[in-house]
Amino acid sequence: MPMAIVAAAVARPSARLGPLAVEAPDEDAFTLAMAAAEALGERARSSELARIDLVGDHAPEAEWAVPEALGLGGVAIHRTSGGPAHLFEAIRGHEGADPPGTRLLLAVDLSRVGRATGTNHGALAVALALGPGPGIRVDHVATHARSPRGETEGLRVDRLGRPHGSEPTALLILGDDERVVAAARTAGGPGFATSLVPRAPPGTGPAPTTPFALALRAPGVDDLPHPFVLAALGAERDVHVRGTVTGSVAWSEATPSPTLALSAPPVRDDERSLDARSEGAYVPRPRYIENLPSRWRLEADWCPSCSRLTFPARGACAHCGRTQELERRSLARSVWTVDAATIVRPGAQPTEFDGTVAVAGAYGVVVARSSEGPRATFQLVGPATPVPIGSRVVPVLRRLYPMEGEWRYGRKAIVVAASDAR
Amino acid sequence: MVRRRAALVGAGHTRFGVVPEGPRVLLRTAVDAAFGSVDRGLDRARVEEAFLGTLGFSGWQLGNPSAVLAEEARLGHAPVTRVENACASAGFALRAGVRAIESGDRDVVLVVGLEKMSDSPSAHRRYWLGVSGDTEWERLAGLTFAGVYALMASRHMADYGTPAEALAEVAVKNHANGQLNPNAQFHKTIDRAQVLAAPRVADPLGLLDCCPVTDGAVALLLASEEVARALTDTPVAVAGAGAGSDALALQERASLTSLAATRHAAEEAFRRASFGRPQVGFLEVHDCFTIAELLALEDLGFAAPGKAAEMTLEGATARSGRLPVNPDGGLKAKGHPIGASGASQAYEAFVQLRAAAGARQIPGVERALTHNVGGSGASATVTLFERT
Repeated sequence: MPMAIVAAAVARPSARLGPLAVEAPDEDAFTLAMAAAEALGERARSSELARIDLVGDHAPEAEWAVPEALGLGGVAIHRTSGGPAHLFEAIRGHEGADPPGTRLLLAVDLSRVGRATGTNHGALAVALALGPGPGIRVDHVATHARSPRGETEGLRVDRLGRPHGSEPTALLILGDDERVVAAARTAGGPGFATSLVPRAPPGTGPAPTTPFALALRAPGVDDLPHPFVLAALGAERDVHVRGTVTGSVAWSEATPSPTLALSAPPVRDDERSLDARSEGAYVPRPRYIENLPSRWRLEADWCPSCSRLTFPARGACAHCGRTQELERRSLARSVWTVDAATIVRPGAQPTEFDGTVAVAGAYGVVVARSSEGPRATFQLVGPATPVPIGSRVVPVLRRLYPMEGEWRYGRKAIVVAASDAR
Repeated sequence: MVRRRAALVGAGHTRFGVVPEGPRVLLRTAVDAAFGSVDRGLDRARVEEAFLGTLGFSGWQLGNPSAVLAEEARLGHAPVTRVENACASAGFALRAGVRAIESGDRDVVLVVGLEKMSDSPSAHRRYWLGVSGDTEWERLAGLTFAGVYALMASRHMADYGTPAEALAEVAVKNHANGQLNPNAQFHKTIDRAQVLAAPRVADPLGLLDCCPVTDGAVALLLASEEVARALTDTPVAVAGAGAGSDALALQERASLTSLAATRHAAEEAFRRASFGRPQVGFLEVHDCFTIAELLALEDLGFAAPGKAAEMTLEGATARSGRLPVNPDGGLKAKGHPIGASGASQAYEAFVQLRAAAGARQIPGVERALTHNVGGSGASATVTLFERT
């Protein structure tokens, strides 16, 4: 059976630079890809997963970090930098792949990519689950030298009102009647799709807020199978895709973050010293690595003697001391309840969070309780606002701080439901 | 069996505050003052052992500061051990000295607490203020101690309806007391409105809810009761020394509004002493943040859970109240040189129980309790003193 997109999820960055959605200081390709992957739910963690494709702006470290964060050590990883063409080619690359099984494709484009040319196009990450089931099938991918007229295989391409030959170019997703149902601006160079600019089909009301959903639910989708045509324009070459919708596609979005307004573009990692603020919580790298199962996957030790969980997992039950036959269990990410909350104001932050205070002014911190019992301490994402005890939060993977030349990552939290308790 | 007891026979206290003197001069000044306070004098050669409580803030002589104390105290070749339990370093150093005497191993012991905090620039200070909390989880969530105590305060307020005014009153009272203490860092009274209007540090705590950065040293001379009687007519006996521990990080503790280490330490201290809470004349508690004094009153057993706020707002803990708390100004107004605070509390017990506290003297006090906390409650000591 041909491979098809059976589920899709999108993660949008949480900072705004004017009208653009860009990475917050604690977001990057890894955190955005993980947000999209986690929005896919169990499909991104399945033991049936045979391969992960990383497309776009992933750092080389993603090859170990992504499987580590997903708890899929040993899974085959394939990393491709590059733009839209590579996304569709990566999907095609799974046709007839052996062994069979679901595949995960994580595509990320960062806003900073376009800065070299003076353009910024926002950031986005998409996670696609590929499998043998019904969904969206990519039947044919062709690449061409970039069309100076903005056309590919006879399809007109809307340049979003910009003159030919200038950045950004456009990724369009078209229905079979050639109506534009969604358009995404994308810059030249590496990167896939960013800052989706949705366009509603004529006469269908306001623009949808989930352009990918719209794209995956192209007009006529009720008549299956449903062919579609898609054109993607890169800086140097255009891509022409033909496919077929053979069934509905599960669609999800990462937990929306509170929005942080930026006054300047995100600083590129190659323009900053990753040691600049390392005078702080000295966690030696081997201890950081050792703690990743708890820090990234929220793993606790379950003790068969007292049926209780110890978090963080340290190889011994905190209640009875048992060290043998402890079972590692990931605490659910979905339901954490705030037990205590504060807002850390300028001067009360550890030095390694000076940058966070400089950008956000202050930040929230909570002690939250998982539905399984253990507590954890999380910094809250986004602008600081009072959080009542009893509120619900969701842990998300973010950058914590730079240390010894690398970013250290861990869980922060997003408030999803503020308690009305005092 | 009657337990052999240790007694304070001398104590020396430097001025607390941001001072030009370095750690060596602070040590020398406190130790000289302690020897000078022994009524019938004490030959330094009789000191058999010393314990030094210090965090090593700023990193100056981070390793082996014991040798610096041996030099500055002119102890010859008597052994010196450095004790480090963060802000409870001196409390635990005092306990080590008491146990050396109670065990019968030593007759005369010197206990010193030291911290020189103002040498470091601001960013470096914030680094050092954070080294004693849980580094891997709390610190990486962006917390220093102000944030951790603020979390406890938020929960205490939610569970018990503790008003911000009660926190403010702790600061108001301790500043009023500190005004009468010549060694205190601040000699300025404040009112509740000022505390409530001060810039926020970590909600619900503001700047005036927090203890300052302080330099200082305190020296205590301990002797067995038998030896003590030969040195002074008014020794102050250590009636019971207790200590306790808990998880380093708040997230791993059973309660967010109670320090189990303090409860354990208090139980142990009172079990060893021959008197109970009603006989205690005043308390020196670890008020690094205003909420900490309320938690202490409850955990030490002088207020029911959630009732410390009411007790404070009624004025019961004022110097003229029924149970004076922190008559020397506490960590809040007297200052909090991390490794010295536990010894400074014992100094206050020594001078108050000998009726030598001057303007801040509490009339007729015979028994005192001191309470020293390390980290956000990971370690604690409780020590009971009585006039003999």
